[in-house]
Amino acid sequence: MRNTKREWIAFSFYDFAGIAAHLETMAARGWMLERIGALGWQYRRTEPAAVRFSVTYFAQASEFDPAPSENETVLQDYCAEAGWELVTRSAQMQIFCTHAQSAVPIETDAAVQLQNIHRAMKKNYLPGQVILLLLSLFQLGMQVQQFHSRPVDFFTAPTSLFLVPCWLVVLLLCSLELSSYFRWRRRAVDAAQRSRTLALPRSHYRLQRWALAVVGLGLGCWLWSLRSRREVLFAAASILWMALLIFLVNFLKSLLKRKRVSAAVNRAVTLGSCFLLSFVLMGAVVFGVVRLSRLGALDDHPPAETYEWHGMTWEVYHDALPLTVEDLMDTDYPGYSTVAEEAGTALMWRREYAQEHRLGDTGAPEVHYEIVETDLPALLDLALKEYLSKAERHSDPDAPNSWEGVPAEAWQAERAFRFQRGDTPENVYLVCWPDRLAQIRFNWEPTPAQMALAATRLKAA
Amino acid sequence: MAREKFQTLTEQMFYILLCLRQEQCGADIMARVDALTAGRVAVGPGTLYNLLESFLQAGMIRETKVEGRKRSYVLTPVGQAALEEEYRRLLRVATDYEACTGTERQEP
Repeated sequence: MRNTKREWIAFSFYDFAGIAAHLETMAARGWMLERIGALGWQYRRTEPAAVRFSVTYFAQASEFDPAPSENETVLQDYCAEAGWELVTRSAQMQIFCTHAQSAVPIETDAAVQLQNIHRAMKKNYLPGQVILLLLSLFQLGMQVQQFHSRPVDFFTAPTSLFLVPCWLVVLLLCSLELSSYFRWRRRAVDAAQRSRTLALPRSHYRLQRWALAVVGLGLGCWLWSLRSRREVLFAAASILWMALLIFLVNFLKSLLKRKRVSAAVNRAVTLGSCFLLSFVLMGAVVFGVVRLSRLGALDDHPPAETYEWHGMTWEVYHDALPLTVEDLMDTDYPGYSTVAEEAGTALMWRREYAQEHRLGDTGAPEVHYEIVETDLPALLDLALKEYLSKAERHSDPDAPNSWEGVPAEAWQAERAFRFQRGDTPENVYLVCWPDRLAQIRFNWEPTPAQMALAATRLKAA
Repeated sequence: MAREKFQTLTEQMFYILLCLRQEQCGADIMARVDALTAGRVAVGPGTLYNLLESFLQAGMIRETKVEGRKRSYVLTPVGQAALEEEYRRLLRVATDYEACTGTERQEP
């Protein structure tokens, strides 16, 4: 039978009544709060008892304090005088309990209590929530910017699709926490002035649990969607990096507290080490991945052969392609490299293919194409806009790039465009079908029959 | 600003200041208020601590001695004035009540 247990309940920091009520329920079930730590609330088994709890705040306290300050101990003495025993403290929060049902409450003036809570909230909690809110807005802004400028990259990258719901959850929770606090405070100030009573705050811990479940689900989907060994290793290393960073920083903070180092020094060392360790650990992750990559341990797609040209080694692949030069014309060139790469999510897939001759060999026909596939017409429109605008973005002012509409029937498509540099059309086509679009580059002028065959293959790819 | 803050004293503020007309240790004030009001007014330890801090900042009380963690306080002239002002306000309230209802002042 376990004699201790931990739990994590996301009570709002200022929800003094909710926390006290929860601890009273736990004590009635035989679980007495022992301490609040980085890994949650720790209880020890006791005889079930009717214990009263009271949560109060001490604004000058800090989570870096090696021990309660002199002023804080004065408050604790007053509480002891009134029959309240300190259970534990965490940053500005102090939790007291008493077995005397008739003990005078620790807080007997609503206005004073409210003022005290607000002072404590301003110390860490509110600034922390505001910083997190701003960070989530910044991260979401970056994602929105990518969504606008490179929607294909955005929708085919599992990481983007994972980060957006995560940061949205953070934004939602921070906004809710801040707005709930200020709404409660306004209500509480009114109540304190009118009736000298304190309106009770309310935590959103059920919502926080749901939010955590959403993030967990998103994390699972993200890891599941990673395809290459390199991506999986990088994701695992990043998660490990985060866990290790949190552990090391908390360990250092606790160690300095145990060594009775002053709060100011502890804060400076802990924050400095957090900053430094995040760089060191991330550097170690990148170094490890690069090193393993060089050793070939992360190579999911090894080349079939290599060749030397101009003193350098070049890779040759023999991947299967849905459309090859040989499908389109007779060629006896033996040295082709065929490369197929793909990336995507449930919303959109991008497949890139290339059939290239070796460097130094000239004259052999080549074909490059990429296919973007989605079941959502709106996303296909976005992808088309990106491809059309990309050409203009990389335009030479003397010979501006453009896509000119061409008859779509040749491609058995809804719409088709041909790339033009200045007034000169090139053998690059952008073709739209109902569920996909393809950009195809030939190094020769394709015939209508070749276009028809290419269309048949790319539609079925 | 301090006067503005404590323009009207709550019962708890009033009795804490009243107790501090004589030097008093913080921890003893709770029991003293309880005795003085026959249990009608209760001052919680958190409220007491915060009010003493506010009174100190407003110059209404001053710390007289510190013995270990035991601190004693006494009323200052500013605190005395605030106490008297509150007493007069309460008297005016009582007088208004008597004038309106025609009742004579009774012992509480």
